[in-house]
Amino acid sequence: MTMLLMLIPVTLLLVGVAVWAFFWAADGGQFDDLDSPALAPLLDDCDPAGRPRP
Amino acid sequence: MNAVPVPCFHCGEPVLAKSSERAFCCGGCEAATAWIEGAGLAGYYRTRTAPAMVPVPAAAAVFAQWDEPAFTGQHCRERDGRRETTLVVEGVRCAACAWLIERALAAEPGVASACVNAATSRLALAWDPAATPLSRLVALLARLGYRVHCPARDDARAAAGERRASLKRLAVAGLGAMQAMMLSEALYFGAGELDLATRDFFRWITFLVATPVVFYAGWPFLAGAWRQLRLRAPGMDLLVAVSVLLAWAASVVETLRGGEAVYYDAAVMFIFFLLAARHVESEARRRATAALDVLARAQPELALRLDAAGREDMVAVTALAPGDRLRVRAGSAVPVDGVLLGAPAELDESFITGESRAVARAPGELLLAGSIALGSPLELRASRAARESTVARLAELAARAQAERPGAARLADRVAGVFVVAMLLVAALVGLAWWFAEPARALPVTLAVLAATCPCALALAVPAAIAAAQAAFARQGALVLDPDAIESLARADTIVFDKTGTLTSGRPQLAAMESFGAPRDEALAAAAALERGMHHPLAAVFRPFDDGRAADGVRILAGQGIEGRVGGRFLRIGTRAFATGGARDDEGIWLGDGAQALARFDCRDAARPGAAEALAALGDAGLALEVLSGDSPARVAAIAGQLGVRDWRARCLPAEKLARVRALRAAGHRVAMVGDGVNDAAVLAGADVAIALAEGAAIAQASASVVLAGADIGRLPALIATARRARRVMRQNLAWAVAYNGLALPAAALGFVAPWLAALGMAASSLVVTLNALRLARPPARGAAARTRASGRLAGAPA
Repeated sequence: MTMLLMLIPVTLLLVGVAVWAFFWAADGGQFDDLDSPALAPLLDDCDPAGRPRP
Repeated sequence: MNAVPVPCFHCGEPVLAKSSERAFCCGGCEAATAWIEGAGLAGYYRTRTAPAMVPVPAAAAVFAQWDEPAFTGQHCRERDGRRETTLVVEGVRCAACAWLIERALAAEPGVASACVNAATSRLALAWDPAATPLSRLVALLARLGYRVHCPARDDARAAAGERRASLKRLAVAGLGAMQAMMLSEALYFGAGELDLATRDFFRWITFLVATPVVFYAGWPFLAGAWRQLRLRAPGMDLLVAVSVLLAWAASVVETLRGGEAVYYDAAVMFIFFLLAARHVESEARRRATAALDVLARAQPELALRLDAAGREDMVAVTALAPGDRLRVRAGSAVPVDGVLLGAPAELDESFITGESRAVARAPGELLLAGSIALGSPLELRASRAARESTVARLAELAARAQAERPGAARLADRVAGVFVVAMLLVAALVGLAWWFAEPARALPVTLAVLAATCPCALALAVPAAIAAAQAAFARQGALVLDPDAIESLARADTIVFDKTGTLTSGRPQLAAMESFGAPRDEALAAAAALERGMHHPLAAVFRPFDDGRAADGVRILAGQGIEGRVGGRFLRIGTRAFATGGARDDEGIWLGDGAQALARFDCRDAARPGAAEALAALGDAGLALEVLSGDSPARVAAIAGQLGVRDWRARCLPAEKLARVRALRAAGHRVAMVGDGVNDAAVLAGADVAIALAEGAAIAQASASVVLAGADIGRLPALIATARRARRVMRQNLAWAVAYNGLALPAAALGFVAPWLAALGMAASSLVVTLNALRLARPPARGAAARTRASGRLAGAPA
């Protein structure tokens, strides 16, 4: 049972970190547009021939 | 002509073409594709999930208004030598569009940043006005098929902030609820084995986790309850706040004095469930209003006023006064109601009257704001200020009709108010009774009563079903603006349709042609050459047949037609008298040389693809169908006959449509109205439930409770089926919740139920209604819908 005395505060700490990370992401606009950024890696910087864009 | 219908490479409209690899419906689409590929952006075609808009050719002068001080002063900010603005882009249909716009703009000199939000269709632009005028950027977007508007109100920042706050609250509630549940499980199931120190340690930890959930995540409920208290209008928020605060406060007391049980988990689960339901609902609403805002402003925010010397002066529409002389360029909309001056003119009034054909107006006649000048520029004298125009008065009529709609929501609020008071009274009475009978058990029993009767399941029963149904509607391409609409749609027994733009596309198509001597291909190509570049709705009919041959000396004669030389031969296209010198006019379009007829084209506004199947399915579902239209009886009868609708009325003014719907409602029918135009706004607002098309006028959507994305009325039968399923689920949920609360209340009041058991039962009951509601979000059997869609597409191809 003494293990709990350590593990539970660790859990709380992790939850705190998760909340802080989520707040940081939300305030940074990460959730403002959930549609277009998903395409970015598919489209970036080259045309169908694979030629880099000027 | 051995051509087959193939989709246009750019916009997906069916075109007749030899089955080559690529076909384009018009020069605009071809130019757009050439530009996109030339700029190395062809990846757009691979990743897009919806076809593009048809680029509308427009004169450079149309875009000049974007550089006017009247616009920049009002809508732009200057910073570090750059100009910044937020614009609404019409035609952003998928994420690939956002990418294309950003890349296309970024490649222009002087553009510092261009950022598109695909969900809200907002373009945030920063550029150097000295290097590139805004008009050039707007013209570039127009060439790609995107039309740009000023946002109706610049509240994008505030809306984003609200959404972020709501997400953060949801995250805190979700994480907190998981932690609290985990610890509470240990407390419930390990009750006998835990030593007191560990138990109290667990309780304090739960207190740490639950407190931010109650006071940060639950803040909207607490604030709402305070507002309701001040207004003396008890509602759901008050009930939620009282339950949550009591559960929390009682738990704190129990924790401090080492009492029987704690109820932190009940408080946080309650908040989490309700927040999740609210978030889903507001998300649906946000998407819907963003789509509405795209259409909220028709382009002429500015008007061309002429001074005494005839010089043009660009002014804001709101600055116009009766008596001003105005000029309207070809293809632009008339800014205010006014009297036509100078030459006769042709106008497209479909926006207001629903009439699908161009209307010829003689000098001295009244022109309505919003109608579009076709062919040639015109001048008018303003007779009313902008806010008194016909369109504005229609909006007012719609607003009044909407205010008369009985709000089920208001009723629910009143019931909830009574319920809240009753619940609190019962808890207080039970507490009092136990206080006299057995003081030691008074607090646990009161808490058990509150937890058992805490109408979580009851509160969730309807919202959860509505949220799930909204999600199901959204997946089927319909946005629900008013949650009550789902219930009303399920109960509707009559569906009334507008014709132009709703049952039909509003765009005429070539139905038949006769040729007199000339080969059919030749006649069509010559007609296309003459009509090239015209804004007239009929010109679009001939666009697919344009083979690029030149037409010289093209002249438009308002009310008659177009003349010019094609391949060295003088030709006229238009009315019979004009084109062929024939005596009797008919509804056809004639091609001739002024004396002799070459061909006659019969153009009709055809029914939308899939409309016939959809209406047949609605009839099978037991709904009565009716068509109300402002168009002529012959054309309404033709469409109604084609679609198998027996009841129709033609030449209806907006007020007459509204009167008809009111009469139907007075006769005991529950009426759903489907419409798209400005002229439908009032009747939409007057129906029990109103469905507008996303392609249609913004004011129609503003008075609708459901907006159908695209214009696919083929989805209606599936939507009605979903609404009816949602109604069944709501009833099951309510029955369950009432039965549970009804059984749990006496048991708890008599002291048979421990508070923790009551809380567990409450959570389980909430879970049951939530899971039952989630069944709605799962798609139903697919076969039927897919078949309808496929046959609709086949029917949509031109013959």
